[in-house]
Amino acid sequence: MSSEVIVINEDIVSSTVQNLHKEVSDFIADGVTGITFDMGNVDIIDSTGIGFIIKVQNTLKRNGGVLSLCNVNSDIVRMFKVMRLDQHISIED
Amino acid sequence: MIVRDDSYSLFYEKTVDDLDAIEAGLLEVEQAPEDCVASLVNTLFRQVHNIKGSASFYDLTEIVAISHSMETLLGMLRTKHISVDPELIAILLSAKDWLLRLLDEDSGFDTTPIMKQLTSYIDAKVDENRSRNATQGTGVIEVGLPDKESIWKVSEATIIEAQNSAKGGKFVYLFVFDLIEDIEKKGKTPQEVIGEFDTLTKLIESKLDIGLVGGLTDDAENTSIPLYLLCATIMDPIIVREILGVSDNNVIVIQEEYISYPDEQVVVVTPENSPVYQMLEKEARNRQVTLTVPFGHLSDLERRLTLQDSWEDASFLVRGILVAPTVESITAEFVLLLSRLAETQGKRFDYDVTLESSDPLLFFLLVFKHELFNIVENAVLHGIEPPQDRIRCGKSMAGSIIVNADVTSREILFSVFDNGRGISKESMTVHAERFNQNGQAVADLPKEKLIDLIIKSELFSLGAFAQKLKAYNGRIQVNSHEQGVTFTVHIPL
Repeated sequence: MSSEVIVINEDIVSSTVQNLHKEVSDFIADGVTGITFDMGNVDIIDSTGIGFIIKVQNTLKRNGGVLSLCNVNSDIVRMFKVMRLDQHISIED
Repeated sequence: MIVRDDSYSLFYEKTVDDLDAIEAGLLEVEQAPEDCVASLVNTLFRQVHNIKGSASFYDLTEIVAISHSMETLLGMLRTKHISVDPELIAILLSAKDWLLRLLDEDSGFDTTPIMKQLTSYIDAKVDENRSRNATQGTGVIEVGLPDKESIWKVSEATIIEAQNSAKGGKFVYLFVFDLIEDIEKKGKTPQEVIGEFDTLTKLIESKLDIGLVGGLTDDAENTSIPLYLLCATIMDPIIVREILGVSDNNVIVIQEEYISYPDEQVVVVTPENSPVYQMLEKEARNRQVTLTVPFGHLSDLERRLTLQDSWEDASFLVRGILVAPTVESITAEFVLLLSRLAETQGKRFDYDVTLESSDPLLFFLLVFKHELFNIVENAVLHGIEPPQDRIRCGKSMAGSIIVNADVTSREILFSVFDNGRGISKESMTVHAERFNQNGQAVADLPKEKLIDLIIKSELFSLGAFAQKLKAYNGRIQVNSHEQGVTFTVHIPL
């Protein structure tokens, strides 16, 4: 079981999701089961971005792995908590 | 970012005390005669509700989840939809033990056993009530889409709390948004939508339904991601559609009237011999409602009350001015003030507001709210330094403000602590000089005397506050030290 940290350098929005989708899919195809998104540079996640994060979590979960987020800004943490997404995706302090 | 600092220690200590009190209260409820149960349960409900609120501030999700279920059960007890039995007490005591364990050992262990126990008990009681008497209700409101499985079971007591909270109101709505169709395609982000609802309404429950979202390799088209928000607000259906920009498809009305407790008490803060009180007392007798008059002389508040023609008007007025505010709603106002100051003043600070829920404190807060807000505001404006200044003097970038109120057997203690720059010697001297009538050189005065003169001065508007406090034999204490300033207000009971 291998894991990777992916530093995300842009907002996770509809215009950026396609590239991220490819990058993450490549890691998973290589057998990576645990992924941590370093969200230090992410200020905005739109609806497509949230859908993408859930899809990553669902894919990793099917493979027995898990998605974690780190360095998440407080507004996004608040949004994840309101949506109860923190019950599905690990958010590290 | 959660800062487990002094404020967390205060939270920890207070919660441990509250859990002790909850244990004692539960044991008392089990033995209490029926007519005493209601007031004991009210206290327990508030204690658990406070723990849930504070735990939510510190992101202690397991504590929030367990206390929420405890609150639901106590709510059902409070609205008399269930009665006290040994199994209920045992489950609540067990839940209390789990809370204590979570508090001591921090998060990280599996709370499924207790959550299962609580949920099964709630479900069983709801089913029991439903089959016993369909017209009486279950004490729990099932919230969901028409003809679909419910999304949440929320106790009526939780709805009552939300309706009477500062941002709440009699209307309770379930809002349903599809993240893509209703939010993204309208040029908004979920953050904006949630922020808007959080500001304008009292958010009771929320959830994103991720059941229909597949994985990365699944068909990306037609993925629906519903976001559910359960909110209480004063806005009627027409206004809510206008202000929040939602369509009929997005909103389901869950509740249109205030729900009352069966043994509702109307707390009237007005002299017993006033016309308002006499009228309310007469009507209350007819309606079998208990009137409570906790204090005898509140002239400034009484001036805001005028004799009304009808119970509806008067009770609305009393509810609006004096009943609706609770220690919790005033706590929320302090939090709102601090969050607004954090947004507008270009300063960074963490804050915690813990006010003990009690009638004497509520009275004190109602009478001195304006002055207490001033102290808190001053702690931000004059105490907390801008981030760059803090870094320059070797402090953490974010400051800290702790607002705390406790009621002991002898006095009310209200304190505001800030870890800012403190009151400088120069500032003390300048202000003290203006009020030094003895001709003694101010610089020679001991620190205590200087502070005494400052309290009498206009610095931070403390002079008028100190004067007003005298009527209640109260006093202000200011402690300026290297770590910042602590203002403490003492009012003897």
